[in-house]
Amino acid sequence: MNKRLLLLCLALCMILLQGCAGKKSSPSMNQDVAAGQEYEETYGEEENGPYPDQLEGFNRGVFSFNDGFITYVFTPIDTVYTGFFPPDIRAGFGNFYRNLGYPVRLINALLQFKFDKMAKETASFALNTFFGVGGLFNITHNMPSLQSSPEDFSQTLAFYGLDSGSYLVLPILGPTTLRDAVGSVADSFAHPLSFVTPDSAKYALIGHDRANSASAKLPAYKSIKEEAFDHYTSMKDVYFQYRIGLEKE
Amino acid sequence: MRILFLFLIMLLPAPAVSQDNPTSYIRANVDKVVNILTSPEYEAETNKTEQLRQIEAVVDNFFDAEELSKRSLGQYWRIFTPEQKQEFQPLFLKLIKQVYLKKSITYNGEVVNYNQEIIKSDTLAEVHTTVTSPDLNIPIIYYMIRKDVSWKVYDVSVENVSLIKNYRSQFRSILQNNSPDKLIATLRDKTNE
Repeated sequence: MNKRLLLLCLALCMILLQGCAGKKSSPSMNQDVAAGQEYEETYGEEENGPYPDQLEGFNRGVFSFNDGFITYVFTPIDTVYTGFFPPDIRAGFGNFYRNLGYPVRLINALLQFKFDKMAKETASFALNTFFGVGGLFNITHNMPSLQSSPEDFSQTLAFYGLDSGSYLVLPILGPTTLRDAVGSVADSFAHPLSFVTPDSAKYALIGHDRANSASAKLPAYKSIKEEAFDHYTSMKDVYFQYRIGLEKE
Repeated sequence: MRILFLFLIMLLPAPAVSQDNPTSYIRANVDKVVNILTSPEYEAETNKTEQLRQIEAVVDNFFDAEELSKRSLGQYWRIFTPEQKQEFQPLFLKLIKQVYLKKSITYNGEVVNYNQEIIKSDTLAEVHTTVTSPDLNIPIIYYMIRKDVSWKVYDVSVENVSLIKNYRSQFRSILQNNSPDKLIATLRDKTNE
């Protein structure tokens, strides 16, 4: 039953995504001729937006709700949390959850035939699990030959030619795209945390993973907000640039 | 004899740090900033203003104001009048310097590794670096241009997110509904904080 529901959701989302795929914005006609060819090389318009945002009205509403949530609910909780756990412990939590996500990255590397990444991920996982106390220490981050950008199902979908679809801001969960949202749901089924029983423990761990990683990102969020002329557009741009960067690797 | 030899070596002028290749330019500037940040001279709270001033002096020559501006405005550069361009450039440079300064004072013993230098042409280059802290690697790319003798930075990307592209998206969204003068006024407010 559950599986059928998921398939239905996936199918629906695919249709939505395809709908958006056709509406890719046409590249801008205006190029700064004076700056010459290098200008075009460095900033090909196709990768620098405007990024698809058919749901802008909805997104802006949720975005300002989220900003309020971050400011008035999450930040005070975070102050207590960071006061209680020193940076090393929080980094340890982060390392642990990242290491645990290995099967997701492995499967998606496989689906994209990125065998070198599979090897790197596997070696990192083994080293960090056995010599990094179950993944609490990220001992491989100093080994350049084992660095590999994380793969996920959304990148797999991109690999097979699916467009990102519209930008989407979800309540509490934050920025994503239609494709990334579908990808996250699919990935969550392969994530070891989803096999934890009972459910209460499962959701507590997933919640802690999310909160811990949000806590790590809070300073960056605040500095983006502080430096922004248009906070919404800035976050959207950061999100797309970051995701496009991952897809390329 | 050996002592005399050592002495002679010490008399030789210290080799000037070559700045005619992109990586050594970045390295020289980053090292200068890190030295100022870690110097015990500025540890006292009263010396912090002087420390900031010193870093600012280094950062002053780091960026190419015209190139930063052109690239952040993209197609809108052409609708700016010469006067507006004149006004925009120093303000935007000031903003970028402020952002860079704010980031650099959070320095906490990270190590900068210079991974790769990509020479795209006689006048364009990329310097790929990684900033490594005990539990994190952050890839930072400096995009550089050479207009006269020295290389200058026209964009910095952190984790694949380009600073200038980010401002470009924002400026585009502002200039769709507002005049260049409005953007310049906002920029002035922002840099005077």
